[in-house]
Amino acid sequence: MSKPILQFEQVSLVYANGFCAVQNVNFTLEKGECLAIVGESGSGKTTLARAALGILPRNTKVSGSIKIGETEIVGASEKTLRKVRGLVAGFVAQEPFSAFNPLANVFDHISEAWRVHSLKPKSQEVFDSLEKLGIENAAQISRKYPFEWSGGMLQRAVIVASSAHQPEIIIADEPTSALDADRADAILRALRETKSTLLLISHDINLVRRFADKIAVCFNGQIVEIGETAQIFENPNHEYTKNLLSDVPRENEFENEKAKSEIVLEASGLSKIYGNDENKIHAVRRADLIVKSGEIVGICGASGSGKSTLLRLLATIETPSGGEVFLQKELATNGESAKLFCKKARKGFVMPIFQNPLSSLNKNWKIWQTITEPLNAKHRTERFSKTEKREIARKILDEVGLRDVDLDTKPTRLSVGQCQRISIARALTANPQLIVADEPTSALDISVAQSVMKLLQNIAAKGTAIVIVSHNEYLLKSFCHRVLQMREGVLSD
Amino acid sequence: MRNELFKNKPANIGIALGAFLLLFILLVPIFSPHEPNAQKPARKLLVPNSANLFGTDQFGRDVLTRIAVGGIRSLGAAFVVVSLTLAMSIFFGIAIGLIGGIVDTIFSRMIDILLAVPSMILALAIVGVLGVGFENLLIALVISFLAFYTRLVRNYALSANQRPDVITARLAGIGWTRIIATHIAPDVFRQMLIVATLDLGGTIISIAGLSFLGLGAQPPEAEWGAMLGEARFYFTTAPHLLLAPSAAILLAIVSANLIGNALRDAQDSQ
Repeated sequence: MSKPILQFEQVSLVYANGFCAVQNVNFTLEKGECLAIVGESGSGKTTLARAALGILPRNTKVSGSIKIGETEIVGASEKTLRKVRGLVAGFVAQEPFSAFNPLANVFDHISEAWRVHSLKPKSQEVFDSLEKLGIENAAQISRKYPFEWSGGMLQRAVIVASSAHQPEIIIADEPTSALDADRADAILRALRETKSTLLLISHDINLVRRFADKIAVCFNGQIVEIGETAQIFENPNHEYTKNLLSDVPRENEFENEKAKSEIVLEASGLSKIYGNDENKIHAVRRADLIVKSGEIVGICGASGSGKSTLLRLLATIETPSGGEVFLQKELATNGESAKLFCKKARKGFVMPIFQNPLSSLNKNWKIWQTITEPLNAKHRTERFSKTEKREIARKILDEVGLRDVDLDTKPTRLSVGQCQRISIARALTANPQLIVADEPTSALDISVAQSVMKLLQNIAAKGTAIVIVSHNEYLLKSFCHRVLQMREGVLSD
Repeated sequence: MRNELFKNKPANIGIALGAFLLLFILLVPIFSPHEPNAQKPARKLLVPNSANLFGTDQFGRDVLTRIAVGGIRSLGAAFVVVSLTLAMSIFFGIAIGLIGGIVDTIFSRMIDILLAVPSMILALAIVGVLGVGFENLLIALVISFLAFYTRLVRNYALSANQRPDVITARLAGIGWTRIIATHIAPDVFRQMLIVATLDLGGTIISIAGLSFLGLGAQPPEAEWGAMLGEARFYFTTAPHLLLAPSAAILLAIVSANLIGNALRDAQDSQ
């Protein structure tokens, strides 16, 4: 038996506020192995990854023993930890945008992996690694700033930085949550090719199945089941594992109802160009789209393909550089003018749902205030008292499956999945004809994502048209009436 | 956020110091047998004694009473300057940020020009134009701080405009006035309150400094900076005259900074 690279022994973690995030976790990871930890959001997966690198918040109580190679991490000095981080253990974080300093260009950021250890960065090696992960023309493009890169591209840059010193182990916390399926595959393949031992945190079971040697299922801060990948998939022992496996969407599981006939949204020749004359970026090129009431249209594409921009154009949040958007056959925006032509667009006709539900809700508001906000709109003649508003909020919460949630709770006390339901509830209060959803499930784990998609399906069944943008083609195909592809700004069937 | 604040040890020290100082400057004038401006030449430059706990100054006035009365003026003025700056900057900053276009360009360049001049020098220049006096000093300080604050608020407002909750409210048909009142202004206020609390200490120093130079409170009015200014002529014979106002300024600034830091930490941890 080869030497273990990572070893957790009786590890328990209690946060400063008294929340016990992880209890009695034991596992070992041997050289060259890939262990995936799967589980719902809030189950303690990320905490485990952070504990292994000693990057938990201050005042977190850690008991037990965590060893990387021969080095004990629990209670180690900052100096010891610095020798481990980057050289022995690389880290790939969940949110690529927050992992980058917006003031430094991407190359600077990657070369920091060398500079922190007082080494000279090897530019050619950086470019080669970036190109290997599918970033073309790396020498030129890596001199651009993080905000000029897409989330998926940034995540690849993070992987290059974290594997810079051929570390013995790479700890990757949801490395592919911002990427489309093809890219996610390519990245995990690249990660495995580094020959490093891999600790992979993910909520995407399908992805894990293809790449991990072993799977550990994390539930309520405990590892309830650990074993070979094939064995877990064929013979799950724990109730929770069984639930998790049954939530994997199967294509065409749901009968697509026939879409109704009224045209809600029509876009023709829509295009959007960013930048100046010298440096033009065509985010969207001549896109045509018709959406009828009750229809769910999915738009699938790689990160940076322009799908979010297209959605913003359709929702009239941005004005196109060319082309026209009609809402119920009434001209809303066109390329010649920054003006909004139809008042409908600002009367709750289109309502958006965003990727990050927490940031789309006002953190300081009680949820009933958020949900009933559209009732305060200028065009509404009817005014409601506080009691009436609370009743309406209660009814809508029932509709979105949050019967037990207290009306006076604030969003920070709810899970991400519950917050997403609340933003859907708010959209419903406006009584929209069209809902545009930008990656509504990418921050959610699979079982919660499923239930949110089912909720959207129920809403569509009542006649609301829905346009969903996602990089997860699998999920879109299971829930949408039709799925369109977006590649480099071009929308196609 | 309130709970976080009270759990924070330095914050508690800051609050305790501030409360002590406030009680001191509010209660002493009520119970003191001495008039702050009553001159008793026979009792001049006395060291601390049982009748005058902090001693007397060159005109025989009781230093303890003058520190308390001066405190009301110094701290009150700092509070007025910071609140006025805060209120005006929130109004102008949000307006500039949201109107955008040419209005934003013009005002932003004006702010750039004001920011190019150090705020103390700018305040000196404004006092020079308006004339010496405590009220004019406060007006000068508000104007000199306003540029920096307005720039910050403008930036917050610009980013607020792209926030998902604001976009959603706009699409739902909520009017701009309501969006500003319910989404943007409260958020900007929370952020700016921390900046303002952290700046309170600096404002106390600016007021004391300009009064020390003779540009603020005029004799016989008591004010910490002005008291220091008068005391410097006697520092060899009566050093206690320098100690009392210096200690008061020190306590006030430490208290303001501790509370400001704790507010920022509480906000960050959210």
